[in-house]
Amino acid sequence: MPICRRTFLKASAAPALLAQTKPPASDRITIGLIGVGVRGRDHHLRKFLKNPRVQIAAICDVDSTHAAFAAQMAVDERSARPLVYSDFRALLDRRDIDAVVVSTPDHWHSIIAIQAMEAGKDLYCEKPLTLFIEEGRRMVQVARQYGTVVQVGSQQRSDWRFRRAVDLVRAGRIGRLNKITTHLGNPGTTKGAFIHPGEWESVQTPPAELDWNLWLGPAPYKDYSPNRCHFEFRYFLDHSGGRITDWGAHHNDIAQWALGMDSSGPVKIEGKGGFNKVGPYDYAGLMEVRYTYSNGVQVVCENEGGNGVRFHGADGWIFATRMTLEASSPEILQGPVAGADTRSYDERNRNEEIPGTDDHHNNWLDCIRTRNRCAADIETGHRSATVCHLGNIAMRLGRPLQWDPGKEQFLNDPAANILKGKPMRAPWSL
Amino acid sequence: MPVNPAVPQWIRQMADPDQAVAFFAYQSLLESTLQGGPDPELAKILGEALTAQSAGGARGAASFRNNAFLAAAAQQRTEPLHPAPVRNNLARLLGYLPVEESVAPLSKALQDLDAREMARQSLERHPSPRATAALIEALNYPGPVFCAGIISSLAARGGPQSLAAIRKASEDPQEEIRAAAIMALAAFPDPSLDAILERHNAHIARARLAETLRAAGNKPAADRIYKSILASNAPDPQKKAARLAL
Repeated sequence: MPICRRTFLKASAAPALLAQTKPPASDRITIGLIGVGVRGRDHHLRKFLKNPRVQIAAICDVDSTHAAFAAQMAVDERSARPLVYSDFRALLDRRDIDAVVVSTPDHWHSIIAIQAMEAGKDLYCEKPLTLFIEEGRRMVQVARQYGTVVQVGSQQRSDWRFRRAVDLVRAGRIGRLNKITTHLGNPGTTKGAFIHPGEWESVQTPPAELDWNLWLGPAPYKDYSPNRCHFEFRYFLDHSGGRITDWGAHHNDIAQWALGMDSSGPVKIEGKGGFNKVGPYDYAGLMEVRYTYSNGVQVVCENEGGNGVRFHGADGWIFATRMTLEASSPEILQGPVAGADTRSYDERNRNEEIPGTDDHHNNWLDCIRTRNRCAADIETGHRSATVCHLGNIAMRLGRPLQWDPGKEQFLNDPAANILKGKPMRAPWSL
Repeated sequence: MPVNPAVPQWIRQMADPDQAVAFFAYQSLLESTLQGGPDPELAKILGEALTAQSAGGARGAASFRNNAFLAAAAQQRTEPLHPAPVRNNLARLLGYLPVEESVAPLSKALQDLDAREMARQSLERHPSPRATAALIEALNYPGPVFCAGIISSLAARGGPQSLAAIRKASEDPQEEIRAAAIMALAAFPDPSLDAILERHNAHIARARLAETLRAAGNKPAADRIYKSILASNAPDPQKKAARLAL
C-alpha cells in the first residue's frame, strides 16, 4: 500500500501524542467490567478503551458470546486481551483490580456492588442503582464503611444541558419553583412497550453459551425464554422496574437534584399505571405519578410531552433534554449563574451517542484519585431510584401513600412496606 | 370489600396452557391482592388453593390394575391440586397479604418442594411472629441451599429465637448452611457473636457485625471489633474499613 502524507503523519504522530497523554502504567486505574451486554460493551467498554487513564484487566459475563466479543474489542483497540470470567466473584478476587463497572440487569446490582465494595473495589454501577428500596440503604452503608468511591450511571448529571438547567432553577431564574414534570417518553414508540400474545417466545432450553441460573441469580426462578433475557429484562418487575426506573432514574434524578433533595425524597405519592395484562412484560407502560415534596413542590412523572425534564416556575419555564435546552424566554438561559456547578468537564463539542458519558467516566476516575464523592454518588443514586420505586409501589397499590424520607418507610401502610424489599432466591442474600 | 367472585376462576386459569390467559389471570389476582388491601378472606381462598390436594393417585391406580395392593396404595396417595407454577404464584400473592390467614398455608408450603422457596420469601417479610416459628421449623427440612435461604430470612426477621437457631446452624456440618449462618450472625447486635466469627476467620462478617453494633448505638463494641480486625490477618479492605471507623 503506498504511503501518502496523511497516512505517514498519522502513523508517526500518533505514538508521540499518545505518549503525551497516556499516564504511566502505574498511574492508570485498573478496572474490570461485570456485564458486557449492550450497555456495558457499547457505552462503557468502548469508551474506557479509548480512555488512556484506565487499563482493562478483566471482563465478566454469564453469556460467553458477550464476553468473547468484548474481549476481542479490547484486543482490537489495545492489543491486549483481558481475562474473561463468567462468575463475578472470580473477578472480584483479583487483587490487581482497583475498580469495577457493573452493567448487569438490575436484580444483580446490590449483590455485586456490595461484594465489590467489601473486596475493596471502587464502583461504577449502572442505573437504576437498585431493584428495591431497602437494598439501597444497605449499599450506601457499605460504601461509607469502606470509603468506596461510587458513581451511579445517571450520566445526565454530567450532561451540560441538565447541569445548566439545574443551576438556573436553583439560582431562581424562573422564580419560585412550583412544579417539575419528568417526561419519560411514550412507550408506544419504543421497543418492548407491549408484545402481542402471539409474539411471545415460548419457554426454551437456554442456549449453551448462557449460564441461565447465574443470569437469574437472586431473581425468582423462571424457565428461559428470549423475551425475558438480555436487553428485555427491563420490562419485567422481577428484574427491573420498567420505564419508570429505566428513564426515571435519569429524569427523576435531575428533579431531585434541582430540588436539593439528594438525601431525601417526596412525602406523598399518588400514581396511576397502565400495567400490561396481556404479558409477558408486566411493567407499567403508561403512567402518571404525582410526588409531593415537603416544600410543597410537585413532581409529575409521566409518559407524555417528549423526553426530558420541564421546570415550571412563577416567572417562566425551562425544558432540558439530551438534545436541547429551552426556556420560556431566551434571557433565562443567558449569563453566568452564581454558585453554578464548577466541574470543568464540558462535552459540548463532543458528538456522543449518550451525552455526558465521557465526563461521567472522567468524574469517577478523578474521584478515585482524590477520594472525593462523585457527581452521582451512591446516596443520590439510592434516593433517585427510591423515587422511581415509590412510583411503582403507588401505581401497584392504587392508593395515595405517605412516605417518611428520613426513616425510609411508608406511614400506616404495612402492605406498602412489604413492597420496599424482596427476599432473594437462595442461596443469594445481601 | 368483598372478594372478587372471579378469584377462583383466575386461580384455575393460571394453569392455562395459553400463556396469555395464564398471565392475565395472575395479573388480575395480583391487582386484587394489592389494591384490595390486606384482606383475610382473600388470604383464606389463596391459602386453600396453595395447599389443596387432589386424589391424584387415581391415575397411578389405573396403571396398577393387575396389582390390588399397589392400586390401593396409589388410590390413597394425593398430590397438589394445582401445578407448581400456580402454587408458586399463590405463595407469592400470599406474601403481599400481611394477615394471619396467610401464615398457615405458607408454613405448610415450606414442605412443598416446588413452592417452598417462594413460601420462604413470603414468610420472611410477613409481620406475624408465627412466621418466625415456621421458618425455624423449616431448618429441619432437606436441602442445604433451601436452608441457607431460611437462615437469610431469619436474619432479616431478627429476634432472639432467630438468633438461637442461626447460632446453632453456624455449627452445622454442611458447608453451605454453616457459611450462611456465619454471615447471618452479623445482622444481630450482639458483641459476643464476634468470637464465633473470629474463630471462623470471617472478616467480612466481622466488619458487618461492627457496623450492626454501631448502628445499634454500641460504638465501643464496634470499635473493639475493628481494633481486633486491625491486629489480625484480615484482608486489606476490612483493615481499611477498620481504620476509617477508628
